[in-house]
Amino acid sequence: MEPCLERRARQAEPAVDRGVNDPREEEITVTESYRAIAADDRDGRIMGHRVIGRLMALALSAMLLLAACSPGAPSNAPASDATVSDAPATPAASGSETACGSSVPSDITAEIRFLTGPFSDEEQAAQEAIAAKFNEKFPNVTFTFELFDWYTSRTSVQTSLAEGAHDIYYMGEGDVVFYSADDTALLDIGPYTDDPCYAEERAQINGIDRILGMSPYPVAVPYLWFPENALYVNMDKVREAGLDSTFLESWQSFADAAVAMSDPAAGEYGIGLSLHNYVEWYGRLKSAGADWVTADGSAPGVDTPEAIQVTKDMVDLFTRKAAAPLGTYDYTTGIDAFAGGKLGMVGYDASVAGALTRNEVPFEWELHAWPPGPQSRATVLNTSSFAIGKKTPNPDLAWEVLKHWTSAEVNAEYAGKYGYFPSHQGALEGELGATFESLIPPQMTAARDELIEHGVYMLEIPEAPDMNARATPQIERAYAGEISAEEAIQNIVSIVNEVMGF
Amino acid sequence: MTASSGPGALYSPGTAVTGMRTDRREALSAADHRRLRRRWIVERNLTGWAFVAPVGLFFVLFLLIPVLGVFYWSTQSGRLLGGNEFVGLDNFGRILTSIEASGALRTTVIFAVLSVPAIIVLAMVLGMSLARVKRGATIYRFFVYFPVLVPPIVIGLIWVFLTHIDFGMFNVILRAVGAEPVNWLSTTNALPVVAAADVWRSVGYWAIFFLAAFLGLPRELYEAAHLDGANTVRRFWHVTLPGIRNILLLAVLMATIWALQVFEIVLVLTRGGPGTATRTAVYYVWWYVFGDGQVGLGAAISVLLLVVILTMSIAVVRLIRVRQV
Repeated sequence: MEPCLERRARQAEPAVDRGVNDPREEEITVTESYRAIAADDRDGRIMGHRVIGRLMALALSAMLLLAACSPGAPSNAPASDATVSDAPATPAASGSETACGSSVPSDITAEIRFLTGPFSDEEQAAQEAIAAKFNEKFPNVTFTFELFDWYTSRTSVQTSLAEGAHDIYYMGEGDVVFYSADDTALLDIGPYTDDPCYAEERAQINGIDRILGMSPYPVAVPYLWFPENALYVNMDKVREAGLDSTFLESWQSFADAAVAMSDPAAGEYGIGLSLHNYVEWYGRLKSAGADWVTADGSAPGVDTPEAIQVTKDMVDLFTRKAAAPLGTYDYTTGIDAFAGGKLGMVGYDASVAGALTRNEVPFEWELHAWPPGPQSRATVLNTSSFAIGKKTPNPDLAWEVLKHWTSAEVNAEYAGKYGYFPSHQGALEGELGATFESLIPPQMTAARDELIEHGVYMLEIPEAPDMNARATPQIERAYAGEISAEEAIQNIVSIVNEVMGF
Repeated sequence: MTASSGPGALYSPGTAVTGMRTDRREALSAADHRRLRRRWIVERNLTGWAFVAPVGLFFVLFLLIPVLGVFYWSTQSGRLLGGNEFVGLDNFGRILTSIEASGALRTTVIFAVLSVPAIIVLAMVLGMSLARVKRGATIYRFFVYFPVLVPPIVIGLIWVFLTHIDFGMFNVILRAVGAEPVNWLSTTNALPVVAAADVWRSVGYWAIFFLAAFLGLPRELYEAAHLDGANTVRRFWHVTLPGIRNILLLAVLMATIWALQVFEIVLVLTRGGPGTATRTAVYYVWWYVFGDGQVGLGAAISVLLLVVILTMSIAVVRLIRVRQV
């Protein structure tokens, strides 16, 4: 092959800087052109990778441009104000029989999407049964129910709210505070709840004013309340140890009872701790008269002598081998261990009551508030509510759905069957009350007044769930003997400082 | 140059060099030559790019963009969809001062120290054993490799049932021999158990890896060493190990990288507990992003992990290159 034209040119005029694509300005034949190109290609002088590199650079630039223009830029505006209405339709709309009837036509065709938590082992079926009752009035409304996982619920709900992927959302108390901090997330239901037509219903719902007042504007209506972490006690074991329920009158007698019920050699323990550890230690903190932050919210409130004492009391249960060592059981297996007689007491939420009743455990059990701490006797309660996403396409219909799901008729059966207390007073009276009483485990009924008397709620700030989630592992390290109770408290102080920005 | 004699009339894509028309005497200007040359370059590469494009697209969509996204999110605070703001390197500062970060780092390193040596040593032993087996070799290799095929989530579930205090197989065996049952997932035992599960899952992969390496070693070296009077240990030390040095370094590197990223088994088996006993770095990434909604913190941990892994990889690659030089 003849040498490259360019090389020949450079040889002829070595001082001239000729680029590869800058041959001598003279005509050549096609043959010579082909030969020159082929020779360059063979010898690797064709700078193909320059073209490739430029193409890649172009592609990368395009991607970066796309990324810069992608959603993620700060935006607090609703996606489409043109399609979302915060104001309800006039209540006296067509299709209603009275001035306070539904503003939504009964033949409306629409889909309502729920995002809610797995409150029972048959949650999907339970929700569909409630939907079937709604369909008696609105036959063309279809429902989808999606259950989130508790561990990733926050991301699931946040993502859904941002996308408008669902219409109705389950909200715990902490959730109401947290999600309502963003005014693009939840629908303002004030126009609905302040409607005179809703006044009578509103007056029947216990705690609704507190829930409506938790957020900058009203977003959620409660439908049931329950102990988030109450004490389930195997009374057969209590009696075997020569005790009765008066052992809960003081912490000392409680701890002694737990020791008396333990037989570590047989793998039996007086109590299982940190199984459903959400707010378990927080309840002890409240019994010590402390909280995440001080009353004025300006500093951490956990590092009090009483808070350290209650933490030591809990650690002591492990030291005395009254509590099953950490890692023996978890949230799922702990319930089985209690039902199987391996644990004399456990701290769990209300859902366990329904499960124990349905599975007919072979011993007598009771539900109680936790024993007293230095300042009070405290058991953390929670309220379940429903809220409407701001991007729902039909707010009026969503409000009708929410009213139905928070009604007395629905919750008399739902709450009773799964071991919760309905927020609606109507579900506790008359025929509905009889239905509820027939379904609710009698242990829940017996504990109701005690739970109300000693019930406390999580601090109503958006950061509370985060602090609780991060504090719990530090407390568990103290349970395991890895750190002392004082060190655990100091670590939690660091967490509070970090989260609150103190 | 006339239209009929321009490059477009004469150049036919795909024409081999030997198929060139050598009888054309039409003249091409220098500009025409350059144009022809550029066209040749593009069309030559087009075929290659067409084959590479699907994989390239996959690489860009599922690797490059997410990695760039992680870097972006490490400088943000807020949620995934809206409401985030630029905070510079604040997330990195928060991680370094966080009380959980040092624990996560320690836990991750301890996990790697527990699992990687066990994986490598067991894999080498298995590899050497498989290299000696003649009859039924295929069956043995399948059983050795089978755990690798099981998804990590399933591995975690299997070990949940193996380690249960009351009905787990381990304690059933212990009770059967008269021993006390063990709390396998206690604060002291949980991390070693997670490491054991990871070893059980991973050793088969590297055993096949080493098997191939051992089978590739020249037999003559062993014969010569045997003739020189070297025993088994000396043959292993002076013949086998040097022969598989680069592969061994690569295996250690890859196993360490995977150990630093352990997550699924931890999530299923212990949920990071008890306490913080099994909270590894990637577990915190998951927790911050999906549990706590703090995407920036999770992304920042990922970036730090990437830096550590890159540093290790560069060091090992240089070690390998030094040997080759």
